[in-house]
Amino acid sequence: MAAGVAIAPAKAGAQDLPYLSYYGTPGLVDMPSATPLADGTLAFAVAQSGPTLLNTLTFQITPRLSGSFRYAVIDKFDAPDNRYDRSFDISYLLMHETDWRPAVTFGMRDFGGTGLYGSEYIVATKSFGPQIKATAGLGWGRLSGRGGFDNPLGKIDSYFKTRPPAAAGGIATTGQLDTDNWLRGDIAPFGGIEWMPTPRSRFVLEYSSDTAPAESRRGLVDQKSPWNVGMTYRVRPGFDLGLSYRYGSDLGVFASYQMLPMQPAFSSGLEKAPPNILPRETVAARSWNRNNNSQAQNRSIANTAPDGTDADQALSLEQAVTQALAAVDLDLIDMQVTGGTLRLWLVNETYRSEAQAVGRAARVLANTAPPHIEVFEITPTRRGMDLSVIRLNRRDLEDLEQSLEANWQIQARSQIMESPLTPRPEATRPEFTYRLGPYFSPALFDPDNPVRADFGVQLGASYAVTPGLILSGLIRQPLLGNRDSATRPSNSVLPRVRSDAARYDVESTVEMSYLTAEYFYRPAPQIYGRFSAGYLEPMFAGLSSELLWKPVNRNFALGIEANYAVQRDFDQRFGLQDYDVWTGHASAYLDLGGGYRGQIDAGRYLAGDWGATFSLDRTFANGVSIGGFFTLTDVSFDDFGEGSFDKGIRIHIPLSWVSGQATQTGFGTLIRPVNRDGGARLNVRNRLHPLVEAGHAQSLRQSWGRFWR
Amino acid sequence: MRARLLARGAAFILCLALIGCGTTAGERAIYDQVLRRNATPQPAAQFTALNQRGAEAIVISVEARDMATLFVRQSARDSAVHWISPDLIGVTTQQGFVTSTRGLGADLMSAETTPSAKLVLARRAGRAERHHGYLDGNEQIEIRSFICDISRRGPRQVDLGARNVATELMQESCINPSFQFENLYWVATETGEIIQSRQWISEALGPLALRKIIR
Repeated sequence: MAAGVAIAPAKAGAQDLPYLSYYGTPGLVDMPSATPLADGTLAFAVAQSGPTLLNTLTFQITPRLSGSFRYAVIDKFDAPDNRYDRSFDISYLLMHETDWRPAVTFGMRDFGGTGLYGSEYIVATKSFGPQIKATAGLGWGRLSGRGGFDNPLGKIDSYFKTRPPAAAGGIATTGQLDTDNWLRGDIAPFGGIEWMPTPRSRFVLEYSSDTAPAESRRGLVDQKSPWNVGMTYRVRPGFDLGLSYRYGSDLGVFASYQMLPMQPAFSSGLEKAPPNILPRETVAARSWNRNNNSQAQNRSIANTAPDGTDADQALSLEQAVTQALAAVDLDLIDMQVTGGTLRLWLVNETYRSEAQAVGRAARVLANTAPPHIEVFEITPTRRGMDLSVIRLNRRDLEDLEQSLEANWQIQARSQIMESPLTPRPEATRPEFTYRLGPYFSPALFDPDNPVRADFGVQLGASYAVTPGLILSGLIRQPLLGNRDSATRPSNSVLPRVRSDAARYDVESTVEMSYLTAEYFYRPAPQIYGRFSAGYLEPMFAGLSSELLWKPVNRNFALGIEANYAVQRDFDQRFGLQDYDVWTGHASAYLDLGGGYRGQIDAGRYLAGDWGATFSLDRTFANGVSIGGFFTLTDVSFDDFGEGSFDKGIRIHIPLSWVSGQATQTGFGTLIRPVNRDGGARLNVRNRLHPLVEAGHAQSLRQSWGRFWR
Repeated sequence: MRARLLARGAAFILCLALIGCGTTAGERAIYDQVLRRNATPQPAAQFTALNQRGAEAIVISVEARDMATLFVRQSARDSAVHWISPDLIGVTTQQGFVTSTRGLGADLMSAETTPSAKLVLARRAGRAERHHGYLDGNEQIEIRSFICDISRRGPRQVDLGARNVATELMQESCINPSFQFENLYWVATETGEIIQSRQWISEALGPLALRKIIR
């Protein structure tokens, strides 16, 4: 009975996942509809039609709000060159569909960027039974190309009557919001009918108000009709393939995938069963011959516990706990018994949920501690820092293990407290770990070749002298790939702190990604600290120091970080360049509830510019996280260059989400439309907030469902 | 010997290519999952020790996957009996009713089955409430409740290999607004214990079949 049964995304409701348009948002062929994606959905769509390839990533940020990032490639648009166009969309569900009224959504396509697809729309969609849906909408901008009429907003203010040409400011203003255009100019109707004869197929007839003016003018598109027909086949829930006949002239092909972060492959995981709590008398009997002093060692009699584990043959309590913790893949750092209380310091490098680690450790203690001990105080630690104290009554564990509402009850009867600053003997077993594995490292959006990537092998090793003092390094050898073929030189007028990234690929062979010494400590209650020194990241070496104030039961934190950074040689070995800079930030972190986390970092960036980064991430309790950020600094939009300011999207998916195994590793990716020198931050590893926060109340409670797992 | 070396080499390369090798338990588990999917896994020492000692055993199969595994009795406390498989999947029963599973991917985290058990074990028809706790995809516990009708399906002989046992077959038909399922229990007429059963666990897993082993 090896692997369990996967919960395919085909759970209740998965068949109702909406179909996407060629623009990667819910819709018909080209036109949007009002149906939102399921909350939290991450959707990826690729569509090719005529000269245009659209790649769109859409995230349903809240049940009503969604955002998209699109990378379009239009063949010969800037003849003889292709046009590579990045755009962002946003849409908001104004009202849900009910029996008698349609869903209504307002959206904006390409609201920044060059405005090639710049348009706004309001659209209504209504179902008629499970098989038919009708959509009708009104569009501005590119969506008002056909059958347009006067903008009714023009009656309020003549400002709305005419729309300036898209991207009037030219390429220089890309990346800035095109607020000058929004909701201005003529509006035009669009709409269509969807027919879903089976749960896996859809046919669409659409009337499009998009005349593709820029493409038509260049002779790339020749629309003969406003009508489009399309069909989509749902290969499996979430994965669709489509074909369409468009504008009487083109054939289009389409593929999309919708990932539902709240539906991992194995919701309860495949890791082996936790220990079950034994009767207290059994535990007592097993501890009779436990070695409480060294002389007892010779008197031990082997016996075997009723659960099949060999009973503690003259082991000390600490040895017995260490062994039992190792059996559930946890490490003991230290242990103390005072009266009826057992304190345990724990390292969890296995379970993504710290609550699960605590739950297993609690059962280990219940099965090993002498019978007079009634209270367990478990401290999760990371890199030598005590993060919190979780106090559990042994009697509660025994009483609740088989209870229907065990999870909620044990949460209610436990306490999460600040970990005191009392010094304890530092465990002195140094620990060596390594990891040899593949890596995949894409470099996106270079106009010469929008998708470059390296695939290679990497070796990482770390040596923890004490839990808080760690020497570590990573080297990489690309085996396959074309990242070193980039030839486009940086045209930046700022110090080239990031825009030379390609030279690091071109001029290196074996790459030393980092080689550092790190020290983690707790200087005062609620305060955590870090020093890092060495080759901090692929492009910079230096010193970094950080302090974080994070009360255990609060949803906010403050931090400061100061760094001295020197640019590394392009060959990514030990050499340094002339450029050096003092950089650092003051940071504020706020957990907004519901998994939404905001962060502001204000300070000085690598190019010496001053400003702030604003981030918002949605983190699911199962570890999937999707977010975005932007940085505004005193570098002018002109000096920044293409894109006007730094921004990006980041996605993290834990391996456990995919494999069901207990592991803390995962896949992360950062999508930056343009990587330039303004607003560039030093990429120090192991910033404190994520480390510390993992053992604090908010995170523990978020994944408390795994306590008994 | 050479084949074995080759297999090891291939495994190493595959391991590198897919997930990498490392020192953490999770990485080893994934390595096992990827590479030993079809191999006969080495039973855990804990299982072997209990099995050799002749601990009480049951055969449990996941019906949807047509696969049966021996579980041995690991421990018991109050009315709960804990069973483990060679790969340390855990199942807990109370009076023969499955009240939790661990390691099946779509586990039953907790259950309240006492009212049903009372009727089934007394071999009486009637109506009972049943509650299940699940871990949803976002780490939240979800409690689902069912109304169950318990009925008598008549006497059955069950062949346990070593001997035939006279039982009465009891049926438990449960329903809530989203699901319905049927559980079957063969209750020994003489001892009043459940010697064989078919019990629904979760939507993704479907039913488990459990059968006592006579050693």
